[in-house]
Amino acid sequence: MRWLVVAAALSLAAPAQAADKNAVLKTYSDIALAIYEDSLTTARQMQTSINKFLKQPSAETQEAAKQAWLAARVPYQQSEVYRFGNTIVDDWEGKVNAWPLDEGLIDYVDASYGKDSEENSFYTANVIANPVLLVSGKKTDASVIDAKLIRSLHEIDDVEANVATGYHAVEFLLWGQDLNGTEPGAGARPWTDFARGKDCTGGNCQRRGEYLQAATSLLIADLEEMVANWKAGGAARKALEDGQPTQGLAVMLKGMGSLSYGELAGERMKLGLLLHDPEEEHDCFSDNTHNSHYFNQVGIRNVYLGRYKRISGDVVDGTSLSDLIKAKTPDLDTEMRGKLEAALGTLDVIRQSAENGKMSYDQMIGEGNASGNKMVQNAIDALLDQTKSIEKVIAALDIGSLEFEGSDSLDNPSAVFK
Amino acid sequence: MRVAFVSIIFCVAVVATSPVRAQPDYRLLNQSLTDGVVLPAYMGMANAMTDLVKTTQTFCTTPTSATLADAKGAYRTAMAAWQRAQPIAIGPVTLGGRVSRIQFWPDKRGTAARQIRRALKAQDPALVAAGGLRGRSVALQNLTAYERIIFDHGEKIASTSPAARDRYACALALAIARFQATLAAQIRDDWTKPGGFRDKVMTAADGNENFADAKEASTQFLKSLVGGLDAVILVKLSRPLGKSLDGARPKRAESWRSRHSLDNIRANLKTAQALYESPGGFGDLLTANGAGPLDDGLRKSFKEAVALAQTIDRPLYDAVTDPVARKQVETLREQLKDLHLLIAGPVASEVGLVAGFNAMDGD
Repeated sequence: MRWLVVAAALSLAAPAQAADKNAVLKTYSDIALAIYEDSLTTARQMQTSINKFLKQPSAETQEAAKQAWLAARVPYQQSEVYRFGNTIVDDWEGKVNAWPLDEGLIDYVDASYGKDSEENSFYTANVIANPVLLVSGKKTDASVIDAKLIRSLHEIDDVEANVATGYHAVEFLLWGQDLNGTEPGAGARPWTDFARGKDCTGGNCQRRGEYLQAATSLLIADLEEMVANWKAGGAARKALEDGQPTQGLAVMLKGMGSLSYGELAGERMKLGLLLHDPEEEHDCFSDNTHNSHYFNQVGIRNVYLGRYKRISGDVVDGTSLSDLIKAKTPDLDTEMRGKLEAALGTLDVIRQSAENGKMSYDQMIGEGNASGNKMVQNAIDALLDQTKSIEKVIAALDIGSLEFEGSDSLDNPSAVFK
Repeated sequence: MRVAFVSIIFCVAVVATSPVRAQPDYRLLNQSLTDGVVLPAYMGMANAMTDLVKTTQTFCTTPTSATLADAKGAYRTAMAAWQRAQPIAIGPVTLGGRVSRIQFWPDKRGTAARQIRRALKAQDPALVAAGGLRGRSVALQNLTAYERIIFDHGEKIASTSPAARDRYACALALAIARFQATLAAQIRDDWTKPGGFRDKVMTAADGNENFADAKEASTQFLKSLVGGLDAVILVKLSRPLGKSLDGARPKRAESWRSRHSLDNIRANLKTAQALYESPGGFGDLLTANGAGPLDDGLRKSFKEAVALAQTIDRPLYDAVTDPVARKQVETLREQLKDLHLLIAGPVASEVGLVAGFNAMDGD
């Protein structure tokens, strides 16, 4: 096809520019490696805290475990911009950060949660309470709660809300359901849910602890896998190195645009605002959504600016998309940077408000809360605005329109018109 | 759904390297699609919603099996009218969450279902009073909520000794119909009034607060076409189909209670076809640009897709679990995937546009 020929011709004709593009891609991969390493480091620290909590359950050790979970989310949320476009990340991501979840699959739930769901027959399967699961006439042995069991239950029945593993499963076990509606307050699971003997509340404390441990170690194993993918010779880094440089840039921009628009502005923010429902928030048990959104945007900015500040304070940086655009159309670079900062600003307003205890995210999306709704709407608008500039960057780099890899129509259009 | 999206690559746009071509006539395309596709769709929708109010009112005042059948029929007509307009992703409907207020679906988490259940139990009179749905959750305002009430509770409402709860359900259905009629009229008027969105589209070439140039408006029509096909493939067909016959999920079909899923898809396709084939539309632009064979292929492909959608002889709810009909649904999906990728790729490139991101990009 003609456009493929053109692509090849362009890359031959402009070797100097191709070299710049490769440098941009290298920065992108280096940042990915640093982010996943930081995610792994903080997840291991979380595991240490969780082990202490399970060894000596108390309000204090529980709180320490919660704090460690919150810290682990900071680098991870910055990694999400790598999801869309990088096949390896996207195929893996569901195990680690799937959301929202029907938490009744895992543990006991409040009566307000309901008993059944049209979409999900495992809605209240409650693995922790049931050594044998009996769902739609089928028996599942759940006598031993380990990594293998919870892996097999993840997205069981092809239902995405059956989230048995990952950050949000751990979050639910540490915090419990947030039953405050759009009033202040996060989930308030008593530490005694993990106590031994007669102090145990909620039943099956031993199994609950086993679940928490299994989910945590699985999360670490998954993060280890992703770190390896971005090391020298790793599959994700190699996929970018082996492809056309322009294709690699397309992956970067696809990630930025998809997270900004469809995922963050759409699925995670607009939906909650339209439904005014407190459970429509990303970190709903811990009330940490404000940070989760904020660091998503920091991640988008990292990719464009080619700069990531590690948890240690060290900076990983290099040739960036911004450099590439600045050389071509300086005005667009200024515009893009401005939009990135503006969006971050609107998300920071939300973050500050929640962190200072003025108004939490689930309150902001509540019915009749005009000022809260407005804060969320402002962020949505800024994200949409930012996406338009990302589209301009795509156009400026001559990346053109989206296509499916190895499709019949690209390789052989006559096959489509048979 | 995720898998389909991750394997995308971008390819270099032909346009950037083809300076010899004349600038496509975006102004004509915008006018043609506005007057030929958009306005008729919204006028049809406003009329259908007015009928829905009348029919629902009659049903609630005189609940019988005959008036229930009328209400169900009026709902189907209203839904079909909306589905004609659904792919249109430009202008007034994109503001204030209107799309979700008209139809909130899919409800993956069951949030809407839970909210409706609660509302029917709580029986708050303020909710069904005049204007009572304004500012509420979209779950309570939209047509899927209407469908749930009329198709799940309709028989009870029509029974000879209706309980108070059933009267409330009917009142909520009527409130939804009224909300929809007001909204549809607003969208129509926002387009047609002097200085309205039609005028903005027509004067896009001179630049205004909505568009820098005519090309920007054309890009939004392209997004409508691409996003509309995307939604049918990813949400309306793939979710109920599941990965295999065993994994089929009939209740993930759109409008399954009224068994209207395929009619919805047929309406979407009609509009997609019209966006492509209207005089001065994308197809004509292709031919004017010397890509006649590509245009011929697409017209044929659209015709085949519409015919395929027609041959499926039972509701999608039943088709996904039937080995033979399921094959037909899968064939339709493949045909639409080809159409989608040709339009997002070569067609967009040939007419000098980039489809960019749409709401389907993401999880």
